[in-house]
Order: sequence, then structure tokens, then C-alpha cells
Amino acid sequence: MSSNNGDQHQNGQGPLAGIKVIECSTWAFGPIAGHMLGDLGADVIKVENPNLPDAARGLTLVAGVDVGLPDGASSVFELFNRNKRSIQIDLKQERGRDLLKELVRDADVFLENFRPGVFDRLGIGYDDLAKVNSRIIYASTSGYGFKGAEGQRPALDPVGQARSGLMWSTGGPGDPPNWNTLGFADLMGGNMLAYGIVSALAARELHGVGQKVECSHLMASMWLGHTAIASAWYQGDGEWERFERSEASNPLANHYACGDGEWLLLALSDSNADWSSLCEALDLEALIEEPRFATAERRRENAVALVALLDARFGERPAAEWQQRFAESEAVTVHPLRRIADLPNDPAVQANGYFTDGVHPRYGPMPELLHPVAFGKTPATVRRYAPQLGEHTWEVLHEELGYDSERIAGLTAEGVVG
Amino acid sequence: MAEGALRGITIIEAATHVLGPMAAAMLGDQGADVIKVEGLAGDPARTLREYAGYDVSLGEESNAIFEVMNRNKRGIAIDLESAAGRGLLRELLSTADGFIEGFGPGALAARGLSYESLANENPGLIYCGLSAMGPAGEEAAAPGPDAAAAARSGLLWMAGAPGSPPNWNNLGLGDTMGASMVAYGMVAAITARARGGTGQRLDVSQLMALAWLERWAVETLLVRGLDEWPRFDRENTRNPLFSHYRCGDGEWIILGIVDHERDWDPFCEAMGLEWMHGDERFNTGAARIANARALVQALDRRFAEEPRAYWEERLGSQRALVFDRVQKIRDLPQDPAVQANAYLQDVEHPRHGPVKMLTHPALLTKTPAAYYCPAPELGQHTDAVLRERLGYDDARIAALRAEGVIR
Repeated sequence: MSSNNGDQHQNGQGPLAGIKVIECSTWAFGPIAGHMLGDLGADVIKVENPNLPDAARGLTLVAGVDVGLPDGASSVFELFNRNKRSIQIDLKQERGRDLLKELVRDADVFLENFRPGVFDRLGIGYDDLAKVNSRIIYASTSGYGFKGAEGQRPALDPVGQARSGLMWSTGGPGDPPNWNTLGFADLMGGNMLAYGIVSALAARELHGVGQKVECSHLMASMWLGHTAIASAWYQGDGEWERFERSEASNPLANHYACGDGEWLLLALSDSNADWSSLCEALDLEALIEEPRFATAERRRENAVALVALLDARFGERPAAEWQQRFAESEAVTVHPLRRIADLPNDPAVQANGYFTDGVHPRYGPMPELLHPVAFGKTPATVRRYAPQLGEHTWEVLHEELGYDSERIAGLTAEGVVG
Repeated sequence: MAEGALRGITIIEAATHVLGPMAAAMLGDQGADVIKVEGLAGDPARTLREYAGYDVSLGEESNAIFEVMNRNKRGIAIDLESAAGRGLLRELLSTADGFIEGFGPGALAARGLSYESLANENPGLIYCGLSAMGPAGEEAAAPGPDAAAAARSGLLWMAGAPGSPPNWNNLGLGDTMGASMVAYGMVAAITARARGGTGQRLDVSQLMALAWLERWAVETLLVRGLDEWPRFDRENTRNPLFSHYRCGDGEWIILGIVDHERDWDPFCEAMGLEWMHGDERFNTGAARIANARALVQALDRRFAEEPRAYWEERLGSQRALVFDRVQKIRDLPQDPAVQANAYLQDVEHPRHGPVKMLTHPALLTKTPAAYYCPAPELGQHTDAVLRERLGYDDARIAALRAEGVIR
């Protein structure tokens, strides 16, 4: 990755090379979608209000973790705003909105995630911008969908998790619901917004239509639970319970604590061949013919007893010892339960080059996940670190709109840009 | 005729269970002509009776997961173990736009259907390979149960409250997230091709998909040099206004308040806790962080005094406050936002009668996703596809069937 954050012409050769995105967004939902388009090679210009920059710039505490960088910047802002340029425009001023429309005139995508209705009231809603550029893809977000009584209700990640049923699925049965600190509703919202925008770009290329794209915390979170929702609701009564490992219906697909407190996941389909291989690997050969466990059906009936028995056996040795034994038995697949911080050391993660090895000019080594899809011919790239506020104001006005220094100085003096 | 974003696009899917099929269904939702290629025994997901300990069966022949993950497709059954069958697949791919295959890294190449040879015949082909842990390395393998990727990605460790054992989240996130990323990659590659590019190979793994879902933790840990991302600890959180509380009727409510300066006063008013304004333990942001535990306890007590509906009304009376009820999956069809936005759709299935399914995760207002048809029976469209896509006549199709190449 280039470490020259101010380098011009840093647009990629990804699938969206040549696409221009104007982003007015804040926190995570919109910024995630914007940078994913940037990863794919689009030129993403992030517009921030001088008086109200992206709130994530000040986000230094997430779930009790200090996410501040040495200079006080936010690591969350940093990673959700890579591959973007920043320009400050005051959209509360008419001249600022005119400037935005000028940028939109030859852009492909406009993206905003302010509270539903805010941009319509400012006169830069879809209908306003479609008059300037009928081919524009205009992407907007909401907490609950734009229709209905809650169409303009403010929302953040927790409401998507809470309303969709995701929160209730966390933890063991009987535990209280727990908010997932990974921000699934924001992450999935951003992912699905990017999916929607790229789908709309495909529709425009194939059928010549520009349009508005909408995505909500609620729907994106439900989509993450699609398999469970399908199971519960296709013809069911909606009942769904959390997984209880001590009662796993297939004890051969379950996780077990080893003697050193580390956990291993068994991932066997539960055939009789799996059963005898597992017994051999665990030195429990006597169990192979044990009537309670002799068939998959019997193992299911006696699952509680079998899980307890395996719990006891795994607990006798440290994880590394078990892993070595399983490695000798090709029939038994076992996975360590990693902590998130271990990911860069995972052999599959390394073999597939899932992390970049960038060095940030201010923060030093900064490995980042590259992209969720590997594109053989038009790879995603990380070309720019997150911009400083207004870092590219002059550059964008000069290069994209042809403004000269005098004009830019005038706009700056009037507080229209910063 | 489909009106979606992808009308006119043909996708061949040869995948099983949830990951590949769900991705192909997403493209079908958007109007693509999706042809599901199955072996003569069919996708094993057809005979799935149980998922995560739940009976999902619908009679002897089907189940909810197969039906939902295979909507909006046609089905063709081909014996891919035979050279003639593989020849048919190759012929179908020679005129297709996209291919999603779940055989695992290298498996199709070993059977003479490498990406390179297919691209040679059809340079526009967008080929997406699926895997559990990525296509490279010693563990390159077909996608399997998503628990493996959940274990490896760190997700299993993240479930539940602090101190409780790791727990598998039985929503199947490795598959749903993976499928969503396959669909995203496919539309990106379709866009690139429509803008003058060529076809290409894509790869998506369950492991990377889950890592992508965890990325603010992944990258924050790495940049900050921390060892472990904590589970949420509601007893000891530093921002009690961004936490969840049990109401008097046992139901839960979650607060998502980040702007204390703006929201503290209206929040206290809504809660009937005006006394807190003057309490020096709580009347500044710094004081609330310093006394967070006491504030959690005060709010625990207050929320427990009234049922959830009361608190929803009180908090809802202050327009800017972010809060919501913690629902179960069983509450979704009655949810007013789910209803107003038609997120869960009632569909009449020819055999199963009225059924419900989620619509689509993004709304394209002019080219919306839609429900076109139910999951195909095994081999339901074998003849139609061979006639339409390959121009085979009845005699040739009959001969293939007699030889056991198709069903």
C-alpha cells in the first residue's frame, strides 16, 4: 500500500474503477458502505459539515474499549474511512448545497446516512439530486425502513440488533439477552448498503436506470438471521431457541474445554465412522461398542450423557496435546476457538492473504482486512488511509470542479467550505 | 418476466446447503435467471430434517431452509460423475454470465472443469468459488458447517455475557454473511463487466466473511495492540445509557444514547428521574462514567418498576432518544416496521400453502427484488433448460435420460 496519503490519482483498478461516489455520512452504517466502494476502486469523496463532522471522528470508546489512536483520532473512524478523500462543505448554506449538486452532477453514487428526512428537508433529497443527474444512484439508510410510523425514527446499531432477534440469540439458554459488541447491525447494514448500491450500478449499466436505494438496520440484521428466520417462520410458529452445548443434538459437532481452559470445536457429521475415529483419537475405544452411543440415533438420545463424558475427557489434557492427536487421525476435524486478536496468526488467514500489511504514516504498522471477496482480475485495494477533516477540500474543488485558488479562498472566507 | 436489476443475467449455481444457494437466490430475487444444477441425488439440503436441533421438515420431501434458500430458481439434475454430465455443465457455462460453485477449491478443476478452461470458452464468465477457510493453503476445502469458521474467526468466543462459556450462535452467520458477500461480489463483477471489463474468478470463504463482520474489533485490536475484545458487560459498562435493562414484566429494552449533552435531561425526564439532575454523582458526563455502576443499578431498579410498554411510551415521548425493545424471532411478523416495509412476505406455495419469508436486504426502488417462484423440485426444469439454453430436442433429451445422465 502506498503510504503517501495525499497522492493524487489513487483510484484503483477494482471492479468499480471510474465510478465516483459522493458520501455524506456519519458513524458506521454509511461510512462502511462508502469505503467498501472505495476498496473496489471507486473515487469516494466524503463530504463533512465544518460544524458537524462525522461523529465517529470523536469515537474513542466502544464497549468499554479505548479505541483512540495515539493522536486522539478514532481507530473505528480510521478503518471505516479508508480509500476516501475529505472535503468540508456547509450544507446548511444554500451555496454549500449548490456546491454539493455540482459534485453530484457527474457522480455515479450519492450516499447519506443521516436521520431519514433530513436531506429531503435540506433540499438535497433524491428528487432534488435526480434533477441534477438522472443517472445518480442515491443511497439512504434508516433504522426501521422508510415506511411506517417509525420511518424517520433515529437509530443506532443496538436497535437493529434488538428488534431483529439477534440480541436474543446470544449466549446460553437462560442467560439474559446480550448486546453484541461487534456492531453487527452497523456492519451488516453497511455491507448490504454496499450490495444494494452495486446492484443499482449493475441495473444502471444493464438497463440505463438511476434510482434510490434504501437499507435499514432492522432488515440487514434480520438478513444475518435469515437461516433461523426461515426455519422459524416459513411454516412454523416462530419459535427459536439458543444453542445449548450441554444438550447438543450432535455431540460430535460441539465445542469442548480442554485441560488448559482453551476450547476445541469438533466438526464431525456424526456417522459411525466418525464415532469410531473420534473414540480412537480420544483413547476411548471401549466406547465404540457402547450400546448408548452405538448409532447416531442412540448418541442423539443420550446426548447429555455423551457431552458430559466428552467434557470430562477433553478436560484431562491441554488443547495442544489434543490437537496433535487429532492431527494424527485424519478422520477427525478439530478447530481451535480463537480469540479475535489471534486472527493474523491463523494459517488459513495467512495463506489467503486476508490482511494487508500497510504502515500508516502516523500510527505505524496497521494490518487491515483486505476485502470479503477476492476478485481475480480487478482486486480490491487499500490505497488511502482515512482523510483528515477537509484534507482534500482544495484538491476536490480544483480538480473536480475547476475552481481556481481565488474562488476557493472566497468560499473558505465565507465559511461555505473548510 | 423479471423486472429486477439483474434481468437478462443467467447464473448457474452448483452448490449445496445454505452458502451458495442463498447467494444464488439473492441474485434470483433481483431478477436473474438462476439455474440450480444438482447431482442425481439432489442437494443434500433437500433431505435436511433438522437445523440447530429444530425440526425444519415439511413432509418427507422438503424443509423450510431448502425452500427459502432456493426460491427464484429453476432446477436441473445432471450426473456430474459422468463425462457426459460434466459436458452438459460445461455447455451451460459456455453461455452463462455467472457461476457459483461449492465443490471446494480444486475439485472441479480435477474433473476437467477448471476456471481457466471455462473462461477460455466464455471469457465473460464470472466464476465464484466457495470455501470454508479460503482457496489457498493446506486447509483449502469446501464450505462446511459454519461453526468451524465461527470457531476460527473468534466469533464463538464472543457469544454471551462475560465469564460464560463460548457459545455457537445457531443463526448460521458464516453462511448468511458468506452468501451476502458472494451476491455482493457477483454484482460488482457484473457491473465491471458491463463497463467494459471481462469475466473473472471470485473467491469467498466463510472464514473471511465472519472476519469481515468482526472487523471493527479485529482492526482495533491490531492497531491498539490489545489481546482480547470484550463481550458486553452490562453490569460494568462505562456508558449506562448505551445498554439494556429488564423491565417490570421481564421484557428487555435497550438504550442507544451517545450524545449525553443533548439527551441526558430528556432521558431523566422520560424516566421520571429528575432528581438525578442535581445529584453530583450523575450530573456531568465525567461523573456518570466515574459512577457508572451506581447509575446502572439505579436504572435497573427504575426499569423494573414498570412494564416495557410503559417505558416505550415514556422514552418515545422524547423524540431524539434512541432506544428499542429486545425482540425474539417469534415477534417479527407482528413488528409494525416489518409490516410497513413488507420485510416478511406472505407467499402462497403450491404444495405448502401460505408461507412467510424475508424479502431482500436492500431496496432498489425502481428495480426491486421480488418473489417469482418457489424452489424447484429435483430436475423440475431439466427439459426446459436443455431446450432453451442448449437447443436440445426431445429425442436428445430422452436419450440422455435413458443413459442416466440427467433426471
